[in-house]
Amino acid sequence: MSSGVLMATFDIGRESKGISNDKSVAVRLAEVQKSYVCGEVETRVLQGVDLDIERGLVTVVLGPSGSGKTTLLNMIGGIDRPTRGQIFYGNRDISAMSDAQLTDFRRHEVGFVFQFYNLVPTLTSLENVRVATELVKDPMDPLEALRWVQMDDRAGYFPAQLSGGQQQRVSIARALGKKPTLLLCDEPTGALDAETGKAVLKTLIDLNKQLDTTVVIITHNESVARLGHRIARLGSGVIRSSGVNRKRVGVDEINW
Amino acid sequence: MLAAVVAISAIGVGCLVGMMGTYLNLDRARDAFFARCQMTDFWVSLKQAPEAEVTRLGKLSGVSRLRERIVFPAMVSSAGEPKRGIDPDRPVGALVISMPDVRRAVLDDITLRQGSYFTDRRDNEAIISERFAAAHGLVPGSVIGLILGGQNRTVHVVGTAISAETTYLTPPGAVAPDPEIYGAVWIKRTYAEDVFDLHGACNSVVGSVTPGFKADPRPVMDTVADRLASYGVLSRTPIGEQLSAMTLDTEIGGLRTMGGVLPSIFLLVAALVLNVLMVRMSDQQRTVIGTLKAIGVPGRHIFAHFIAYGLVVGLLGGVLGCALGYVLAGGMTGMYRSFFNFPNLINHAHPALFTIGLLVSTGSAVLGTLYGVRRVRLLTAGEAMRPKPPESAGRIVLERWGAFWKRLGFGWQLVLRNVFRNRVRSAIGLVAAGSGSAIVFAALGMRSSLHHMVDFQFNNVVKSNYELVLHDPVEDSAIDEARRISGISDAEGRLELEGEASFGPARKQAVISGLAPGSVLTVPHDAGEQRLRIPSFGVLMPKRMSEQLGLRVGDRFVFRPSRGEQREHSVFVAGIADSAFGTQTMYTSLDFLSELVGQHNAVTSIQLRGTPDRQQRRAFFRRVRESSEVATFSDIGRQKEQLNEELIQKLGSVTYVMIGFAAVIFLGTILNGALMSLKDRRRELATFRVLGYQPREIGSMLFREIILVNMIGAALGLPLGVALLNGLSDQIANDLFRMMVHVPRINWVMSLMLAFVFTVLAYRVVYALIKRMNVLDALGVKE
Ligand SMILES: Nc1ncnc2c1ncn2[C@@H]1O[C@H](COP(=O)(O)OP(=O)(O)OP(=O)(O)O)[C@@H](O)[C@H]1O
Ligand SMILES: [Mg+2]
Repeated sequence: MSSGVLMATFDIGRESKGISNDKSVAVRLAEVQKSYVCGEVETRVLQGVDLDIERGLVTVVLGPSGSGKTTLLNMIGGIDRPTRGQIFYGNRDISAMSDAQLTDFRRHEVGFVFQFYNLVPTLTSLENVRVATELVKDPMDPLEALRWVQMDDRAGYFPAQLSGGQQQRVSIARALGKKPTLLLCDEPTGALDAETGKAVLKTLIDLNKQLDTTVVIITHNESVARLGHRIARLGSGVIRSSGVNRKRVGVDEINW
Repeated sequence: MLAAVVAISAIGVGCLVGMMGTYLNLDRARDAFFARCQMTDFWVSLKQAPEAEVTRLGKLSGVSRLRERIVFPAMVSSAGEPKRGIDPDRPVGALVISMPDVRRAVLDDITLRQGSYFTDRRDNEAIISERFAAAHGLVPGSVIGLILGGQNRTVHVVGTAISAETTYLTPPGAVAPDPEIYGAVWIKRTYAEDVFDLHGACNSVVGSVTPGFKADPRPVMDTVADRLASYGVLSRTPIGEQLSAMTLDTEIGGLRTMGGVLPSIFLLVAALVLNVLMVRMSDQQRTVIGTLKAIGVPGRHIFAHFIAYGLVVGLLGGVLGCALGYVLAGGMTGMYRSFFNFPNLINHAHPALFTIGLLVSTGSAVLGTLYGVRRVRLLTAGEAMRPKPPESAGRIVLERWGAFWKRLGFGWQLVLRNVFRNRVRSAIGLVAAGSGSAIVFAALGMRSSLHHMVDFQFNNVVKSNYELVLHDPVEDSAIDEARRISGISDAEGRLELEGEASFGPARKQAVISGLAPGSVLTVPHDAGEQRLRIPSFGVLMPKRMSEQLGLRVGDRFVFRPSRGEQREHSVFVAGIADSAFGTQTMYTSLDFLSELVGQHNAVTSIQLRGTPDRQQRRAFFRRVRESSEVATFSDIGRQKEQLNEELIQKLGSVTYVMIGFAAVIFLGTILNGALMSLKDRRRELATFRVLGYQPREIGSMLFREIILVNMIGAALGLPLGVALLNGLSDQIANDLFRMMVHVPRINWVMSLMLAFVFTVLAYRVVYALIKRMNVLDALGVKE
């Protein structure tokens, strides 16, 4: 599928760059570059990414494998830094933050959901959630968070006793337990079958709807992208296109 | 991590090879030296016996050879210029021993170091002990003055020498050699006969026994002594009680024990660590192993690979350890050389010891490996190819106490989970921390016990400044005279009776000391530092002797004096006195002892307290030097100094070495454990970082794990430390000296504090690693 077709399908428009005081923008990426230097060779993964992520919406970043999606998400989440360019969270430049400040930013604002769950194997579901809720002043009750993902009946289970989808739901509960303003999901369904994946996605969409959390989902799956309010397409190190998805569908309607 | 295992086993082997090597060096040098000097098996001292009488005893069964000679203590009236700014008037004493006029091999021979043997130029030639010569700047050609037979005489030094029996020559009443105030002087036999008026007679008989009696020469010694009883036997000393032999035995025995204990601890820790390492390695290699098995590589090949790995680690540690040990033995042997000055005390390479070291290190490494990879063999190819299932997910014991568990707080719950989950790792931590704190405790205990001993002795028991032992008993009116000497503020007389104490089959050379009524210069105390009343009936027995003879308060034992009327007396034990030095001296009242021996108003030694005036002290010292009545002189202040120097500093440095060892155990195992834990939990910790935990928050969790395990281990190690300290005390005790175990409360705290400090130090390293951890890389670790 060419970008032209995609533009037609999703009716993607162009936007302006730079700092904005627009209250509706949660994260703004400006001219973000990322390159890895390995000996003599410099691999330029991101070559100037401009992107606005609106508050309270679901943004899907779509791109083929190796296009730099994870790299991008990690920088938004403050676990990696751009080589050049800036990333604003509100009007705070997180690309200029110290390690301690970044940690603090992650602690209070960000929830991460990984492709491979990253649950602590020695802790129960409930405790895995508690690991996160302990971090903030006014967290969600851990059991409540599990209820949210319909895992409250498995609160005392250890990760090894859960299926992949269940583990992913626990990891979502862990992310939302902190009541983050920004939920970053890296291929959340990458390791799951369609049915399980859909359940997980539904949880994310519901979360956005009911808690008004800003959600960023990364995927290489075109169908998943249809769930987003906004779809940004990453390719060759730049945002090829980014636009409002006028034909947004519910989870039940997607297939892959 | 591998380096840590190699280092720990190298240190273990190093300890083993170093200490055992020193032990072998010392043992070998001693045996060679004793053989060369023809060290005898027993010593009998007499008042005076005809030469011919003694010669006849040489034919007694059990006697291999006998030698009769003349031995006297003497004061040195002039002896060159003492070095190191020593008070030139300080009384100096010597043990004067006769030697054949013409060089021939005799029992208790000397080994010349400088100059020559006696010549026929003069009668009054002397050979002096090497250390004494060095301390006084004496060389062949020097002249010294000696009070011999009551007269001040001049002797010409022709040579310097060492001898086996004077290896550890202590001034009277002292515990450590002090060549500045005491040495050995060998003079011609004919000259000795002249000056001591012992023509054709002797006062010392030494002998060696036939091989059958080597183990216990006592019966032979007794036969000889009994035959000479009518000539007044003063003392009988089997080799086991001879000072030089005994001190060497204690020292060498101690080395052997330490050489066994310390390395064992290290090797145990090394084996445990290696074991964990191998378990982990085989877990990591699971899929590789599975794949190899699947393509048909036999299990035993894979197994052999791991064993080879263990072997290499063990060999590496062993070889490094042997090298380290050899160097260590060199240093320690050097230290002993300055202590004992044997001629052949050099550092040998001991191939047998190296072999043992290598065997032990490879053995423990391979055993650790075997245990660790045992499971690899049992795996089927399919099982092995799948990743290892997560650690047994379950609850830990503590969670059964719900109320307690809930009260803990989440942080501690996580900590306890990890501690209990990694049982092996935690157990190793406990064992290591336990042995570490035991060693620290014993080391600190040794230090404070030594200080306590010196304090106990000089603050409580011996309150005099000087002690004079007289050649012959004097009337106790002499005490009043002594009090009037300028430079002396107080004086007390003492009657001392040498003899043998026996109770059932147990026998012991002993001295009963009769103290003046209300004595303030010699004050026996009990273990609780309570002053003991001097009994008017019976004796106060030193603790060690009471243990050796198996006596308790209220018992009666038999005492046979070696002087005067040799009647057996039944003596009552009125109390037990504690003492660190002179563990052979019992105290009683002067009256009781006088009654016992039927010798009234007589004293054999005088305790003096001096005035601080320097001028007066010099005058007093000069008077002692020239006195014809004084056999030996002890300067108590000097003894204390000497003790502090020799004992506390030398043994004190052992303390630091031991604490250093403990530090290595602590740091080594904590670091090793923590690094393994970090590696295992990289992904987990990275997840924590992503969630927003600051490095110090993660650090605090690991710290709590480490501190919990190590402090519990350290606390559990304390009783072990008590046992170790008591063992050490037993090990270094002999008739001269007994370490009074004294552990002030602060030591317990200090041991735990040090454990804490070591733990914190190790944690600093761990924390630096957490801080440096690359979250992205860590997350990238795919399971
Ligand atoms: N630490 C690194 N050093 C060098 N190159 C890196 C590093 N991390 C990522 N890259 C490169 O950056 C590019 C983008 O990687 P990234 O993980 O962001 O891709 P992605 O879009 O998430 O792919 P996927 O869909 O497969 O997860 C890849 O070509 C990768 O090789
Ligand atoms: Mg990716």
